[in-house]
Amino acid sequence: MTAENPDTPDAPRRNAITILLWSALATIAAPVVYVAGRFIRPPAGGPATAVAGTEAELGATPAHILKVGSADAIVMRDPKGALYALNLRCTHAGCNVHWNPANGGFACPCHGGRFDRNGQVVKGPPRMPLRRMTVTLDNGVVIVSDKPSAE
Amino acid sequence: MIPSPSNRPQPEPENPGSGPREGHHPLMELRGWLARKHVPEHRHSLWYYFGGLTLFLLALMVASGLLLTLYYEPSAAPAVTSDGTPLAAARVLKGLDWGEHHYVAGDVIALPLNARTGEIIVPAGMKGAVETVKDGITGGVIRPSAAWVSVEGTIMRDVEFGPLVRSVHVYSANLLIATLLIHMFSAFFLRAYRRPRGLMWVTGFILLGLILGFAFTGYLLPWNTLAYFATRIGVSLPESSMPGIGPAAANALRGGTDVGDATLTRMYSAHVVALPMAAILFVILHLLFLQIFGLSIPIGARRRGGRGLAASLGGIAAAVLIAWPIAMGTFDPLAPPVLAAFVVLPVVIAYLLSGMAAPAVESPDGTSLGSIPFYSNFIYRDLLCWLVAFGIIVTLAIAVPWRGQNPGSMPVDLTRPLATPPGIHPEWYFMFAFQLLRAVPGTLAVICLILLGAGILAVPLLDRRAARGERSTAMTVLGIAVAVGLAGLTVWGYLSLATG
Ligand code: HEM
Ligand code: FES
Repeated sequence: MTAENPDTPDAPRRNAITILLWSALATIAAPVVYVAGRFIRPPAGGPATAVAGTEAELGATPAHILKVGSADAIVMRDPKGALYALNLRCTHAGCNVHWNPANGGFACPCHGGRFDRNGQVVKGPPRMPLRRMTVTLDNGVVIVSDKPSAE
Repeated sequence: MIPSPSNRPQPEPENPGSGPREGHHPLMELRGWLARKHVPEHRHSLWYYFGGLTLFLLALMVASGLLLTLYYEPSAAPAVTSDGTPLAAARVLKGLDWGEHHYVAGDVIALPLNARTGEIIVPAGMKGAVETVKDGITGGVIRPSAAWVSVEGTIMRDVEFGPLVRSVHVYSANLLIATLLIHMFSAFFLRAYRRPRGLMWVTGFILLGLILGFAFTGYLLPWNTLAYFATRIGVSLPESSMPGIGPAAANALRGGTDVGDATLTRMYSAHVVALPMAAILFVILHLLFLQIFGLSIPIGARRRGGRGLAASLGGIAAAVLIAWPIAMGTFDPLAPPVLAAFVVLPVVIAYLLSGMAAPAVESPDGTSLGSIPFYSNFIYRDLLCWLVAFGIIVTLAIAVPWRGQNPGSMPVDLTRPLATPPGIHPEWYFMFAFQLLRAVPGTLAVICLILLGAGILAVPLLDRRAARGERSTAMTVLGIAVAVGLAGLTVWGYLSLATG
């Protein structure tokens, strides 16, 4: 390949080289993009847990707010006396809802969303109920975890 | 269009678009320019590929560095778990699998600390296989910094492909400095710095300084004892040897009178903000001047000649014999193959240099030389070099992931007495300075280094004859003396490490 005949005579060879090089580049680009994509994905930490206190401490009508990992949670008791926990993060756009003991519901300060004490939507704009968190009892100690609750 | 002397007149390509024409998009001019751009071809064309290779490696550094910043935390503050439990350093006593990872004896890891007992909380699967690391002097636990945990924990264990990305960053840094040195020495021996390319030499020299700056600042970031003491040694060089401005400069670099959390912040800021901005600026200038002036044709270059190829292959083989055991961590300068390589390498280099310095046999302006089109002949060869470099780096990164924890290196806890790791020494590219400092008094060492830098910078001014198209023997001798001196100091440094 010299300057005297830059184009025509070895055009087929040039085409072959072009195809070869571009396919080599593509072959390399694919795993690079794949590796970068996997690297960017944050590592999965284990589920966060927090101790809310003993059953006795929480009492008959708890509305105990605590931190579980990065989430804010509230521990409540249903009419049958079973404990449950809700994630206070509003399902509309992510503000934290306020617990209002006077009317026994949650109000969102951002766009006026309302939820009842079970986390069900009473008034829009949210459409989904507040997320439930998992409550487990360990020898009378109440542990809340950010694993979504089964129910 | 920027004119370029190396664009030798070529028959206009059939394809229109090489000039501004009615109805043509201005970008079409780019195609004409690309079609006209040529690269001179002669016996020494090989060296033209090292600038592009350096550019590619720099891009690889930026890409891998960008990924690392997603997880690296530039904080010397003690690390805590997500629920606020303090962490402490623990040493693995015997190989074990825990979680998704394999740990080998001697690994230092971070485990939660029981603040009451002052001992680590050992997870069930690790019972009997780990112990709390105590500092040898006060017996206190060592609390690793957020920076150390983000490197050794998050990047090296938690993130997928973390060790690969870190290794690519480290290995391309090493290769980058190697290609940079080759690039600079070849530009020197081919007299590529002569008029009108003085500014290419100057911007190139500044880039060398910036790249060494990247290497120095990046080394501190893992915040282990090796990094800590390397920085302390490096910064104390001006401090102890240059009365007046030395200490002031050292304090400015460190953000205090000793290496501390302020130093980490400064080095991080330089490594990811100031140096990249400056490097990008100077790469643009370097390439702009290249476009304006074109590639130089070495004085009296001859058309072809492959005698350098065999020598180059020998040189590469010798370099691998030295570099491979270093990468594997089994480097022994007294091992016969390594000693042989130490002998072969300078001979090969001297041979190649003597080839560049061979007497002129053809017209000095190189008019009888050929040229090859930049697109696509030259760029394809460039790409091929990049692919090879990329292959070498990725192979190394997968086969021998960089672990970064040289034996004896511990996480730094600034509240604890620190032990300097035994046998501490810099990376190969700073070895010459380290050995110089060991061999001569500090002030003399600093004077030598300043003279070296100033001398390299002033090369286009020192060499008056190159501008007239003559090759000065004095410059060749000077260049070989500097190359041999630097290589000699480096080899001497490694030999004195081995013999203690
Ligand atoms: C990050 C660092 C650098 C990059 C990315 C870079 C890039 C390049 C590129 C792509 C070329 C054209 C191809 C070639 O001749 O290899 C070039 C040419 C050149 N570079 Fe650099 N370079 C760097 C550092 C340096 C250094 C440290 C010096 C010397 C102190 C230097 C001096 C030159 C000269 C004189 C030329 C013209 C070569 C000729 O005309 O034959 N460069 N550089
Ligand atoms: S975020 Fe709660 S209503 Fe919009």
